[in-house]
Amino acid sequence: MSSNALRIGRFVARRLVQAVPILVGIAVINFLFVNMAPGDAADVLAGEAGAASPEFMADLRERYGLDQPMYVRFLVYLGKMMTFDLGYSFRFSRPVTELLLAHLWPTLLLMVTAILFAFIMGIVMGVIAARNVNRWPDYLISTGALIAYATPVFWLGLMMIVLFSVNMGILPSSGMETIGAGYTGWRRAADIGQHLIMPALVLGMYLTAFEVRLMRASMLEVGEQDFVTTARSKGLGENAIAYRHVLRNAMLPLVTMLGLQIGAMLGGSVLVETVFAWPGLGRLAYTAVFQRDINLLLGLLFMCSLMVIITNIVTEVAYRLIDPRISME
Amino acid sequence: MNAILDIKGLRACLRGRSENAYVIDGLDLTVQEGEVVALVGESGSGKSMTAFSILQLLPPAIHITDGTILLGGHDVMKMDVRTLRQVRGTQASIVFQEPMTSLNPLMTVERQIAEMLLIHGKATRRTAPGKVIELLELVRMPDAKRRAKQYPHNLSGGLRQRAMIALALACEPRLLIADEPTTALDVTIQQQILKLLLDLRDRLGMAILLITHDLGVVAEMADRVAVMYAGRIVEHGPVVELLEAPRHPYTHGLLSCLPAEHADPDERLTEIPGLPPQPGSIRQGCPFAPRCPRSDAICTEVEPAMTSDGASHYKCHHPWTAP
Ligand SMILES: Nc1ncnc2c1ncn2[C@@H]1O[C@H](COP(=O)(O)OP(=O)(O)O)[C@@H](O)[C@H]1O
Ligand code: SF4
Ligand SMILES: [Mg+2]
Repeated sequence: MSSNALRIGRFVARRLVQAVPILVGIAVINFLFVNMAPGDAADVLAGEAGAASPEFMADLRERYGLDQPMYVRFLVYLGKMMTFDLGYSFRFSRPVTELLLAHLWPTLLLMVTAILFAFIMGIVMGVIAARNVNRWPDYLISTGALIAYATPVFWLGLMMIVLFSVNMGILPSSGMETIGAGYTGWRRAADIGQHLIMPALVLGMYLTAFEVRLMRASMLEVGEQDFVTTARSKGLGENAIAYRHVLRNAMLPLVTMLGLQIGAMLGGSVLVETVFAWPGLGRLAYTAVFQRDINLLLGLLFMCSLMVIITNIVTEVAYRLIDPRISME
Repeated sequence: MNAILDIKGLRACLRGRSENAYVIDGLDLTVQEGEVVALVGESGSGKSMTAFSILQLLPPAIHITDGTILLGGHDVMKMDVRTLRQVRGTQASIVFQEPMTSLNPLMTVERQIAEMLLIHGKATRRTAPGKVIELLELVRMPDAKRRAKQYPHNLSGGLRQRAMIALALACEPRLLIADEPTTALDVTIQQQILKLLLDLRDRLGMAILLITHDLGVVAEMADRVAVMYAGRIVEHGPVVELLEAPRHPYTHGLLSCLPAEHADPDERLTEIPGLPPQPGSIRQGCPFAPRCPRSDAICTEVEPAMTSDGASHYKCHHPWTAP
C-alpha cells in the first residue's frame, strides 16, 4: 500500500516538474495578450478620477513601473511570479496574491460542488437511463439532459433567481453568506450551503447534462463487450454485472472528460459568480477586466492555469487508480 | 451413456430483418457425458450462436424461435432466471474465442475466478484465494501465485486463455464449451492449450464441445464430429469415419482443401469456391447447392433430410459413397 502511495507521489512530482515550462509559456502569452490592449491602469485611474494632469499621470506610471519598456516589465513580472509575488492591485489597494487567495476558496467550493454534483448525477442518471434503454426512464433522462445541455447558463441563473428567490423566497439570490448574521460553526456552514445551491446547480448544469449522456452511451457500449458475456456465463445476475463489471469500465471516459471540462467551467464561473454575486475568482476576473487591473488580471490567468494543471494531474491519478492498464510510470 | 447436451430442432432468428433470417435453422446436436464433440464449419455458419444459445447468452438481436435444448436433462429455455444463473458455470461453461477481450480489464485474475466460486457457493471469501491458485495450477499457469494477483493485460494471450479455462472449470461443469479457443493464439501455444484441454477431460471427465474450423485439430481431439453449414448440421459421425470417408460434399470440400502438412495456420477454410449464404437468403432446397459440384435440379428444390448409413449421418441427395 505504502509503495502505491510512493508511486503516486513520484507521479505527481514528475507531472509538476513537467508543468513548469508550461507555466512560463502561459505567463508569456498572458502578459503579451494583456499588454496588447490599448490603455493602461493609469488611464483607467485617471479616467475615473474625472480629469488628471499629465504630471499626475506620469507620476502614476512611474510609481507602478508602467513607463518601463515592455520586456523589462515582463522580466520583472516573471521573476516575481516565481516567488508567488504577483504584484499589487491598484484598484483594490491590496497585493494580488492576497486577493487571489481570499477569492480562491469561494470559487473552489463552488466548482468542486458543481463537479461532484455533475459527476454523481452523471453516473446515477446515466446508469438508470442505460439500464432502461428505450423505456420511459431513459426517454425522461435523455430528454432532460438534452434540454439542460441546450439551456443558456445566464438565462437559467436569472430564472432560478426569479423563481426561488423572488417568487418563493426560499433561496438567497446573491452572496455566499448572510451578511452581518455572524453565524459560526455548523450554522454558518448551513448558511453557506443554502447560498451555494443555486450557483452550483447553474454552474454544474451543462457538465451534468454532458456527463449523463456520456455515461449512458458508455454503459451501453461497455455492456456489449465480450467480458460482459463472460460475466453472464459465470451465472452472475444482471445487477452484479452492471455494477461490478460494466460500471467501472464505463466510468473511464467520464474521468477523462472531466479533466477536459474544467477549463470550460472556469469560464462559466465568471458568468455564474457575476449573476449570483458570488465572491470568487470569476467575479474578481470580471472586475479586473473592466478596470484594466493588469497585475490582478495576470495573477488571475496564472492562477487559472495552475488550477487547470492541478485538476489534470488529479484526473490523471484518478484514471490510473481505476485502470491498471495505464501505469504510474 | 447419457446425453449431457441434447439439442433438437433449434431455430434462432435475427430480429429486425426479414422474418426468415435464421442464423440457426433446424439444428440437432447431442453430446454424451465425457465425450469430445467437434463442431466444425466455415466462419459465419452459426457455431458461436449455437454455443451461446446453450447457456442463453445470445446477443439481444437474436432470439430462439423453435426447438429444445436439454442440458443435463433440463430444457434451458424453460428455466427461470434463477435456475438459469445456477446452471451457468455448474452444468456448462464457455471458453470464448478472444482471450484479449473476454476478461474484465479492471479486475485481477483472482477476483474474476473467485467471483465465480463465490456465487455458486464453491468457496468462501477466506478459502477462495487458495482455490483460485489450485485452479490456476490445474491449467498449468506458470507462477500461479503471482499471476493470480495480476490483471489480464499483464498476461499473454496464451496465459489469458489458461486463466479463462481455469475460470470455466472453477465450478466443475459437466460440459465445457470451447468456442475456437485457440484461433487467436500462435501455433505452439495452440498445441499447448489443446493438449491441456484433452488432459483436463481425462482428469475431470467432463464433456467438451469443441468449436473449430481447423480439421487438423479435429483429428487429434474429437471423438465425434458435427459439420455445420448455414445454421444446420449437414453431417455428423465418429471422427475416423467422417475424416476418412466424408459423405457430404461440403465435408468433402473442407477435407480436400486441408493442406497436406497443415503448416500455415493462417490459411483458413476459404478454398471451397463461393461464399456461405447469408442468413435468410435460402428459401428452399439444399443450402449448399449453389457451391456444390454434385448439385442437380432436385437439390435446389428439396432440402435433403438427415440420412443414416452405418455410423455416418448426412443431409444430401447425392452423397459420396462409402469406400
Ligand atoms: N451480435 C450479432 N448480431 C447480429 N447478428 C449476428 C451477431 N453475431 C453473429 N451474427 C450473425 O449470426 C450468424 C452466425 O454467426 P456465428 O455464430 O458467430 O458464426 P461462427 O461462429 O460459425 O463464425 C452470422 O451470419 C452473423 O452475421
Ligand atoms: S443435396 Fe445436392 S447440393 Fe446439397 S450437398 Fe448434396 S449434392 Fe450438393
Ligand atoms: Mg464464432
